[in-house]
Amino acid sequence: MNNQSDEYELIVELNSVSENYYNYKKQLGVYLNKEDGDIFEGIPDPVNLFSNIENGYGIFAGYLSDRIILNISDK
Amino acid sequence: MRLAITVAILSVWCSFLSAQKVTVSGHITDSETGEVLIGAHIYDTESGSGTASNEYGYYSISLLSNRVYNLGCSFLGYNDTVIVLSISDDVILNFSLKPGIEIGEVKVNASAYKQPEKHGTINLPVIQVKQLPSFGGEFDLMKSLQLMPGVQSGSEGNSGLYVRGGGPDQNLVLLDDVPLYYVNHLAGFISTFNADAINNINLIKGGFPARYGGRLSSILDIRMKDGNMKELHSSGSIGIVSSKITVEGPIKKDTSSFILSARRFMYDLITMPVTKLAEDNVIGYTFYDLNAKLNHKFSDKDRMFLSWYSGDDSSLAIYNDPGDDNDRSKVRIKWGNMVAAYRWNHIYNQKLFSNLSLSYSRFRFNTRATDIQDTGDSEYNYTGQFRSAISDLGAKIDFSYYPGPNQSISFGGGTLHHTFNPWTNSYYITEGGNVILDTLTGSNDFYAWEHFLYLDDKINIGRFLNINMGIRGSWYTSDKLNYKRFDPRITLNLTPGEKTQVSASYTEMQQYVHLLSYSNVGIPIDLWMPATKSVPPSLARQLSFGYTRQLKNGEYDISLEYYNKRMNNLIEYKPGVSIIESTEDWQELIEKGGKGRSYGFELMFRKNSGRTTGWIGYTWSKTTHQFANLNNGEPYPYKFDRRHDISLVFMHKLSDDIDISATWVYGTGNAFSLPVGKYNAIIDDGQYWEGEPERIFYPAYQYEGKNNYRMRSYHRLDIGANFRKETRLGERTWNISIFNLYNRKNPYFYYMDYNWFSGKTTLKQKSLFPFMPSVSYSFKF
Repeated sequence: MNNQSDEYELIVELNSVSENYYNYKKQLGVYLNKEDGDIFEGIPDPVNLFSNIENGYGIFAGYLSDRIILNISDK
Repeated sequence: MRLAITVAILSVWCSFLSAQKVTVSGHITDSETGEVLIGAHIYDTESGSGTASNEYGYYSISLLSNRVYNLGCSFLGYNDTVIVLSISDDVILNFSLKPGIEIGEVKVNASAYKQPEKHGTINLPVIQVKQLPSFGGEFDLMKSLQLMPGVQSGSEGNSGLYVRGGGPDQNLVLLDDVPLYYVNHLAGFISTFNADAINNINLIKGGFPARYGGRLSSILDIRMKDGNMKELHSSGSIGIVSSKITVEGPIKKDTSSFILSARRFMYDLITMPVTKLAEDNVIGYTFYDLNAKLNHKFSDKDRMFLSWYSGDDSSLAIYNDPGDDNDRSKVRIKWGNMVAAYRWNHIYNQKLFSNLSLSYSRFRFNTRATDIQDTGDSEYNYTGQFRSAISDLGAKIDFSYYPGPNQSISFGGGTLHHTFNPWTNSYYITEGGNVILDTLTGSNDFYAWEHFLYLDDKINIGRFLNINMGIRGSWYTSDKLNYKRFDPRITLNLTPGEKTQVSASYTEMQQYVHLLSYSNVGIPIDLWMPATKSVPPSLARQLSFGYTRQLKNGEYDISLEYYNKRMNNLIEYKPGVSIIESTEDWQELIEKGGKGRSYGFELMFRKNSGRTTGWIGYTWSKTTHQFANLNNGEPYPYKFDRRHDISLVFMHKLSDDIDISATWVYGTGNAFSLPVGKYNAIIDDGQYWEGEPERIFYPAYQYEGKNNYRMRSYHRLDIGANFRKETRLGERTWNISIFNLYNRKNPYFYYMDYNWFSGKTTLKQKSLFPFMPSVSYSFKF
C-alpha cells in the first residue's frame, strides 16, 4: 500500500489447506476465544488444540498458496 | 421448661360408645404472633404415636372415644403443652404454643414420644439462622443450609446449594408453593431470601414425597410468615451490605393479617454520586427484594392467602465521552424474579384438608445499551438489547386425608404452563433519522405444559413399621412433543426402639427444564431451556439408607445416611462455545445424554438443647459425570466433587442477652483441569510484515483428562456474637461477625500465568474473601 499516491496494491491470497490444517485453524478460534479466568467464571473449561502428532503435540500440515496482486487506483 | 396444661375433660358422658373412633383436629400456632407452626408434633404421650402439623399448621389425629388421653404438642424452640382429654365426639382443638426463650432448653422426658420420620430431610429453624455468624451482616438461609451434611457450597462465598452431587439448577426452590428460578443477589454472594420474612425452611435431599417433583436433587420448601395476628410489630436492620425493614400486624385481630418486608443494597447510594463527581460517569449496582403477604380467615374452615415476592439486581453505567460533549452512552442490566400466588385452604371435614394454589413466577434478564452522538444535523442513535426470560403460570390442588389413626394420604394434581424466551439479541441504529440497522436474532419462544398427578400413602403397620408409598405421574407436552413418566417413591421407616430409627428409600425424579449457565460479562446469566426432542428431560434415581438415634432424652441425636444417585440426560456446554455470540441453535452447542453418578455417607452429631447447641457434620462423597464427547467418553470428576466435607457449628448462650457462635468448615479442593504440557502454536492473524504473512507464537496448553487436578483444600473459621438489649421502644440487637478469622487464602480459581519475557509459565491462585469483620444493628418494636 502506498499512501503518497492514489494507487493501492491489493493482495488476494487463496490458500488450499490440508484437512488437518483446517481442523487446526477451526479449533484455534475456539481456543483463543477462551480467555483467562475471571472473577465470576473462574477458570474456563479446557480446550485442546487440534493435534496430529503421535507421542507429541502440534500439527503437521501443509498448504498451497496462490497470490494475485492487483493495482488499484482511484481514477 | 415444661408447661403442662390440664384442660377440663370434655364430655365424659356417653361412655357406652366405647370403641368408637373420634377425630381431633385443628391448627397449631405461636401464642404470641399467631404464626402457624409447621411440623409441630401432636402425640399420645403413652403410646408415643402421633402426627405432625402440615405446611398450614393443620393436624388431624384419630383417637378412641371415651378414653383418657394425655395429648402432647411440641415444637423445637417452644414450650411443650400436654392436654388431658377424653371425648366421645369429634372436636376441633387448636394449640397455641408459647415460644421458649432457649431452644428446647430442658425437655422433660414427659412421654414416650417417638421422634418423627426424618429420612433425608433437614429442618432448619429460622431462629438458628440468626444465631450463626453472618457474612457482611446478612443472615443467609442458603449459607446456613450449606453447613448441613449432604449439602455443599460451590465456589467461595456463593450461596448456591449442591445437594448430593447435584447442581443448583437441580434444586426445586418453592416459596409458598411457587417455584423460583433465581435465588441469588450480588453475583451469588447473597441469597434472595430475607430471613425476617421466613417462617419455616425444609430441605429434602432423599426420600422425596410424591407431591414434590420437577427437579433432580432436592426440594427446598420455604414458607413465608403470614404476619402477626395479635399486634402490630416492626423490625429492621442496618448492615454493611444491605438494610431491611419488616412491618406486620393484624388487619382484624385473629382473623386477618399482613406482612411487608423490604431489603435494599446500600452501596450504590454512596458510590453513584461519588463516581459522578469524580469522573462525570456513573457506575452503579444495586439489588432489592420485596415480600408481601395478606391472609384472611373466613371461618375455621376457610383461609385465603395472597403473596407477592419480587427481587431484582441491576447495574447501570453511564459514560460521557470527555473529549466529546455530545457523546453519551448508557448500559443498564437488570435481572431477577417476580412471584405472585393466591392460595385457599379449605377443611371439608376433620379428616380432609385441601389447598388450592394459583401462581405466577417469572425470571428475566435484560440488557440495554444505548449510545447517542449528537453532532447537530446528523444524530447517531444506537440501541442494543439482550433479553432472556422464563415464566410459569401454575395451578394445583393438594389434599391431605387422614382416614384413621395409622394412615395419612395426600393426593392432588396440577399444571404448569412454561413460556421460555431463551434469548434475543436486537440492534437498532439510526443516523440523521434514517434507520441503518434493525435486526433481531436469537432463539424462538417455546411453550410447554407440565401436568402432574400424585398419590402418597403413609401408613403404620404394627408398632414399628411405617411405610410411605407414592407415585407421581407427569406429562410434558409441547409442539409435536410428548414425554410422560411415572416416578415411584417409597420410604420405609423402622422404629425398633423409641429412640432408634432405621430407614430406606428409593425415589425417581424428573426434570423438564435445563439450565445453561453462561457467564463472561461479569454477571452470571442463567438461561433456562426446555426439554426438546433432541434434549430429553433429565432423570435421577436415588437409593438411600438412614439410621438415627436419640441420646439423653433427645438432647443429642446422631444420624448416618448413605445415598447412591444416578442421573441421566444431563447437558453440558461444548468446550469453548459461546451461546450468545453463536448463530447456531442452542441444541447444537451442547453435549447431550450425560450420565452422572454420586454416592456417599453423611454423618451428623447434633446437640439440640441446653445453653450450648450445634452440630458436627461430615460428608464423604464421590461424584462423576460422563459424556460421550468429553474426556474421551470416560467419567471425570464433577467440578464440585468433594471427597471430604466437614462443618462444625457451635452456638452458646452466655446470658439472656448475649449469644456467641462459631462455624468451621473444611472441604476437599474443587476439581479443575491442569495442563500437562505447553507448546507454541502459530497464529497467522492476516497481517503482513514486509510482504510476508506475519506469524505469532502463542503458548498453547495441552490438557489430558478433564478436572484431573485439585485446588488446595478449603477451610475457614467464622465467629459471631449477638448483643440484645431491651430499650424503651423495643428490643435492639448488635451483631458482630468475623468471616475467615484466621485469614485463610482459599482458592477461588487457578490460572496459568505466562511471562512473555522469560517464557515461564506459573500456576497461580486467586482468592476472594480475606479476614472480614462486619457489624449490623437490628431493632424490633
